[in-house]
Amino acid sequence: MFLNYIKLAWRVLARRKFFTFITLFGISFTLGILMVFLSFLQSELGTSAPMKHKDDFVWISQVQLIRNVIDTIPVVDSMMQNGAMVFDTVSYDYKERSSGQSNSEINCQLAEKYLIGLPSAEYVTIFNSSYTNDVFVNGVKITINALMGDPNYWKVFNHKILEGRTIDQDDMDNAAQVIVISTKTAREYFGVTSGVLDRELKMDGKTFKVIGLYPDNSKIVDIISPDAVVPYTIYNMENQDSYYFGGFGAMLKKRDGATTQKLKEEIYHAASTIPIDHPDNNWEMNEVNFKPAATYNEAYAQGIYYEDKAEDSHQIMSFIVYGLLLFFILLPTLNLINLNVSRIMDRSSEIGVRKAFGAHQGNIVVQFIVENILQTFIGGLLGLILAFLLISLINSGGLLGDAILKLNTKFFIYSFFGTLLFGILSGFIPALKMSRLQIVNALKRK
Amino acid sequence: MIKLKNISKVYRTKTIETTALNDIDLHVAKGEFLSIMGPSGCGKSTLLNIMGLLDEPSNGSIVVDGQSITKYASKATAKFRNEKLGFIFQSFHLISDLSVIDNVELPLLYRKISGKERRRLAAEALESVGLINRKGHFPNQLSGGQKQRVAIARAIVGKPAIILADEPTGNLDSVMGDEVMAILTRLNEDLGTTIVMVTHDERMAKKTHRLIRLYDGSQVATASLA
Amino acid sequence: MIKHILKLIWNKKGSNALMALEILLSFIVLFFVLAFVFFNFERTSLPLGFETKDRWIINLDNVEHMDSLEAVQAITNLRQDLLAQDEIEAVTFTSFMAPFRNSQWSTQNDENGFTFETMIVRADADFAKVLGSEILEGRWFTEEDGNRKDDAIILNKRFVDSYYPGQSRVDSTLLLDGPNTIVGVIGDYRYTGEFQEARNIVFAYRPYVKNQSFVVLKMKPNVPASFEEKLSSIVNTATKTSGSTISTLEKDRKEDSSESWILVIALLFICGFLCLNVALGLFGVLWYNISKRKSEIGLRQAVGANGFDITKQFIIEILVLTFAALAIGIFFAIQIPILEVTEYPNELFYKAIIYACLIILTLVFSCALFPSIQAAKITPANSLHED
Repeated sequence: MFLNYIKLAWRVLARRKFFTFITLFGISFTLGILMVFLSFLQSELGTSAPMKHKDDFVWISQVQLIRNVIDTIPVVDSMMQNGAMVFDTVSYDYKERSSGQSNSEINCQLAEKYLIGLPSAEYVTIFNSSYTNDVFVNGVKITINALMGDPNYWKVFNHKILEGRTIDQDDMDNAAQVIVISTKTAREYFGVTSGVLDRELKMDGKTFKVIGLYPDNSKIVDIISPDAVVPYTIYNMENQDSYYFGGFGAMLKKRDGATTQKLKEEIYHAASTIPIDHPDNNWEMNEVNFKPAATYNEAYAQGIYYEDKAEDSHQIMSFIVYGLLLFFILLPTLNLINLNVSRIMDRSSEIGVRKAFGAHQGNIVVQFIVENILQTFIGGLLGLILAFLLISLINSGGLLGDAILKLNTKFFIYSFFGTLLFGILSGFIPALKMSRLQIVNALKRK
Repeated sequence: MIKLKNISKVYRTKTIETTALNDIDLHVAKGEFLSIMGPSGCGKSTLLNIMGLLDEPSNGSIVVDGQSITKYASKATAKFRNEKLGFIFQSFHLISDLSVIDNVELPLLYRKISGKERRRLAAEALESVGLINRKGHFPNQLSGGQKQRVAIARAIVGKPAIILADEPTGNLDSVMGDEVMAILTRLNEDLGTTIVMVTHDERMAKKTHRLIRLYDGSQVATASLA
Repeated sequence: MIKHILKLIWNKKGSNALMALEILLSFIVLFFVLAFVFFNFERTSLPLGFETKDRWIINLDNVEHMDSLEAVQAITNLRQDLLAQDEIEAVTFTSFMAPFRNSQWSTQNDENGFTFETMIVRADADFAKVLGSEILEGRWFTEEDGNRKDDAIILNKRFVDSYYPGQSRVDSTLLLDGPNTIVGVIGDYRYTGEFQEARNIVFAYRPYVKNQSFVVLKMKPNVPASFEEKLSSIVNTATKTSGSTISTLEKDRKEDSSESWILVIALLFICGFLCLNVALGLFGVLWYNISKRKSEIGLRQAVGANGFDITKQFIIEILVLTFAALAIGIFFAIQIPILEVTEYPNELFYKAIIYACLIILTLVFSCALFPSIQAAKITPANSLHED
């Protein structure tokens, strides 16, 4: 039976070439562009390595000092008495508001002291992602966006290690001048992409020994894909702005069984134990907090929308992304529905005959949806080819800077279900309409 | 009124040549009610279409109301059809998305007539077929006989000199058929409208002035009935 | 005739509603995309207000962490060393509000009931020379401005236009953190980039030794990129670190705008595809509708419609439908400028509405034309044929 449906669908598609073309054009482009969009989202908010478990992390990039003042608002109850206003009682309302705040990246020691050892955290990595240096190799400038990190950095961001090793605790303790570099840096600095172990890299007036090599990754955020990683203990801690502020951020991995929400609460609690009366607080601030204390996606949204709370930014971003997607799909779907509705009329006598010979409403709906899904899948396949072409065009043209779009299994699964949904959506209304045709009317129409 | 001379119609496809009409000479007098009979596929509908300037003969000449017709797909011919001819079809051909009165108005749309006048004329035509109380209905709410009466109202609303009816009773039962036939006869007698009717029904044909029979595209017999 | 067509459309409202909805949606998508695109184009068409050619920029590291005397010394040395180079014509030291950097410092001021909102940029005496600012009135800062009792400030034209339209404000006083004397008015300084909005700016004088974040250099023409290495070593020596980075404004400008351009182009591409898709769909639907209405067409011809009448009817039908859909779309779209939902100029939205309407009408018309002409070619003899 099912095979019959498919056979029939195929014949219908082959018979109406022009409409099959219009339909397939619409479907393939819609799905193709959707796939590129999806791939873009994945590379931005990706779940693939090195961001495999990104939802298990809470990210803190700033410490925030807030000055809260309490406004006293007198509330006067008055009443009318003999046509004149008479005061009754006066009460006071107290309202807390922020009259100033100061946000900046975190002081390294502050992060070490208050963010290491939280009960819900399995481990923490502390890093400074703005260790950017210009180095010159034979008169050519290379900008190395290096990151100062610790051994846990590799647990959070599981970059594959191609050669050598990562930074270990000894390197940290000795403030060793060692460096783990990306293939990009190796290519630019040494002119090779392998065999760089134990070679020397001069940067920031220091001579680093290369101890490891990892592959380039799609570059979206500095902390995910730095050009090189060095132990943060080489940093001159004197250079930090104050007791509160420095150039550091942190990422905390939640322990199995704990929730990121719980971890966030512990972070807020830890922040509340930071002394506020340190002399470096010279703006009379009276509250300290860690910001944004958010998952990767939330922090990403925060970077775009700057709401007070990262969760709110994330909501706005989701709203916009889904809204755009909806709008984008709605139009081609409507278009397809319109086309399909028109086509039914063309086939009403066929439906009449089918019904006259015993097909019931359900059969007709199924037939039409199968037809539509088959059509959508052919379109989806073409869309995939299109997406593939577009993506390689984008990648080779460097349209998104260093960002590399990829197609992976997860992506295929999403695309498959997206296509299926599209097929059902655009086929359902016409199918229903078609199935309701009265036999007599259907047969009468020419 | 209508003069057909040496009319032939040949349909050509790549492989087959089909002769639908073969050398027809026919004269329809003013005020005449003529019926055409013949088996299926004998060319009677083609003949009617040619008389109605809907189709072009392969050969021969045609003069309608003193006017010799040469170009078929022209503005002038469209205007001529609009003013001189009225059509009635077996399957009514009412526009299902228009109400009864809007359907009747249709020919007047292609004339320069005010909306008010159109309404009045359409109502008058509906009145004469006895359907004025149905003017707001849609075709699918009417019975077959009613539909055909609406079609007749549409055919006469422009006061044409000639009405061409293609099996007007073909889809109707005998009672409804008689009703329709009565309206046509009255039209012919009262207003002197020339009517050419294709029919399968001897009974209907007998009510007309003259009957011609077609067989395989040729005229085989003429009988004067009145 | 129009009334007749309206009736036809109304009596088929079921299937027409779907088509109208599709047109409405297309309008809305086009409206937003066009508004966005016009908005960006409008911004890029504004002058940046500074030169980028042969301008290099150094992001200074470490100086702010030195103690203040040491920092002053470092900056003084650095300036001398830079000016000693043949390749360098002029040097200006600025704070964080440097070209193509996203730092902003804005303030809302309310002094004696005069409220204004502005960004504040601190600049030294060589700023205008290095960045090629257009001085419209008065003069740029000189080093003597450091000796005044009040502070010397310079406004951008937008500031003057916003708060003192048609007036000359040079030599008058502006209260902002105490009294300041306005010494000049310049064109603009859209340092955040080509796609960013133009804003009010107050330049406040600060001697170069106190601007320790960025250095902008005006280079002689055709200085090779290899000079960067030498420049780098000069900077490293003066700042006692190698963390400073060098870039050119030309490169920064490209990087800064490419992201916005990609967005604009991607949107236009997607929008173009949607339009094409809708156009093909409409074409198909119209084609079907007309073939479905063959007997109607034949009948109309039989009762006296000529070919042009038929074509006209179908085109008017779809255009009326389009106008209806557009009317609804415009009703919603026009709320944005009327209610001033956004802070963006109203003309932008009106322009987007007009262009979206024009595009849709052209699209619909061209999609309707071919099937409608085909419709006129249907011969009544065939379409009315009884079988």
